[in-house]
Amino acid sequence: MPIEESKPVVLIIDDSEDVHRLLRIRLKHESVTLVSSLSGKDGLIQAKAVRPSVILLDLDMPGLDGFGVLRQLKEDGDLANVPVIVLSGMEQAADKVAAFDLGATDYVTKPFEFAELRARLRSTLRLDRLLRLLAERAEVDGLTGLNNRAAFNRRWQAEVDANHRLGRALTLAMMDIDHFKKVNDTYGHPAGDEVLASFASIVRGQIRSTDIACRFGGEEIALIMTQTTPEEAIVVCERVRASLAATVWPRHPSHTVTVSIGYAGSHAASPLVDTTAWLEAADKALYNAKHGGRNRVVAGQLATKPLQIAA
Amino acid sequence: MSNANQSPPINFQASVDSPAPNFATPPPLRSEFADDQDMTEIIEAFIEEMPDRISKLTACWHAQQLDDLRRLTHQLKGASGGYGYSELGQSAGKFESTLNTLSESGTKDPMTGLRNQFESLIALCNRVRK
Repeated sequence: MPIEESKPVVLIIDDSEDVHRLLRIRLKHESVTLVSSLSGKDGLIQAKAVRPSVILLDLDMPGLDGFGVLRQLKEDGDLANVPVIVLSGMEQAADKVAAFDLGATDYVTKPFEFAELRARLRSTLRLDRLLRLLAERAEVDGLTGLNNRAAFNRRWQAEVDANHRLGRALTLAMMDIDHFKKVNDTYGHPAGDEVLASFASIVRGQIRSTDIACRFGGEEIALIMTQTTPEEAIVVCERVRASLAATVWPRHPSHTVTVSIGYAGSHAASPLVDTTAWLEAADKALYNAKHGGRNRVVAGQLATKPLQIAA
Repeated sequence: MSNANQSPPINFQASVDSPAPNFATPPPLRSEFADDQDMTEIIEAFIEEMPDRISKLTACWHAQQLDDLRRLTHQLKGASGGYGYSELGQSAGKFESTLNTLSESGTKDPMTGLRNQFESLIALCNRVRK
């Protein structure tokens, strides 16, 4: 998923309303969206909700102080890498060392010079953007532009966890181009690459914004359909299948490329089905599609693990 | 302040019972950012809120609420600098340091310096203008 070009969100966590008021004025000409929080506890809730690009954090707050916030941010998988600029009246080196050891990215002492704060904020945002680009590129398949296998593993685990924890519907489809080896052997690997890239483009064009398409390997694409029942999934899969089958290849107009698709899904929580078992169910359905004549969509069945009865 | 783990309370009574000092009319304290149009509205808000700040500081003083007094002073220190009242910020910072020292030392005896500092701080607050 490309990095959004919307304004980065800066979350300010400070118990002083004056600090929020001053920062809103002093940062109003920066291309950022400011979100304010008056306590450490609320700040963590806001951070989860808005996923900021940077957090400006006061240390000396009643209740959950800045050190406590830093600890909890670093323990949160979603927020651990959000850069934190500490704004604090604490000038002791020990406090600064403690803040950096807890993961703070920068430290500005109050009362702060606003020009300096603005410069540090811009620098942090620039670095954050570069790191996000790097992370994004590390998870994108170069040929197809889809998520790569590493991204699939991460996303698939997260969605299965969400299914188990929240009972969200989930369906996984495995799509494999038919006779792909023959395409490579007959027309050469560059043609094979073109077919793959075109197929990926078709998939992107037919899926919804909530679907996650990944190049699983070779000529196989995995499609994670979040909050989607098997009945809804077959509609998406069929669209992809039909679209590829109808594609006319300009240099080889007489040639047709088709895809076999197997999918396995659940309407509600399936706590006994882990990521591997679910993937196996979709793969088995794909196998059945291949052996049932190819160019078709076949539903799989999620199998639960057998009960272990103690002797 | 009856918790055995806390510092013994400071006896403000002797200080509070003393007659109020006689202040000469001091010059107004102006913001260094008075000419910055972006800051006009919030500086005016800071000035309008100043009587309320003074009231809270004084209430904490009379009630011997050292922790609350320290927190309010800390906030005043930070805010003053941001609104362009450096002298006020420095005075609040000095008073905060004194409060921190008193708290850490656990002294029982009232310090004349504490009252003088507090009154100086309140006097500066009363001088804040745009």
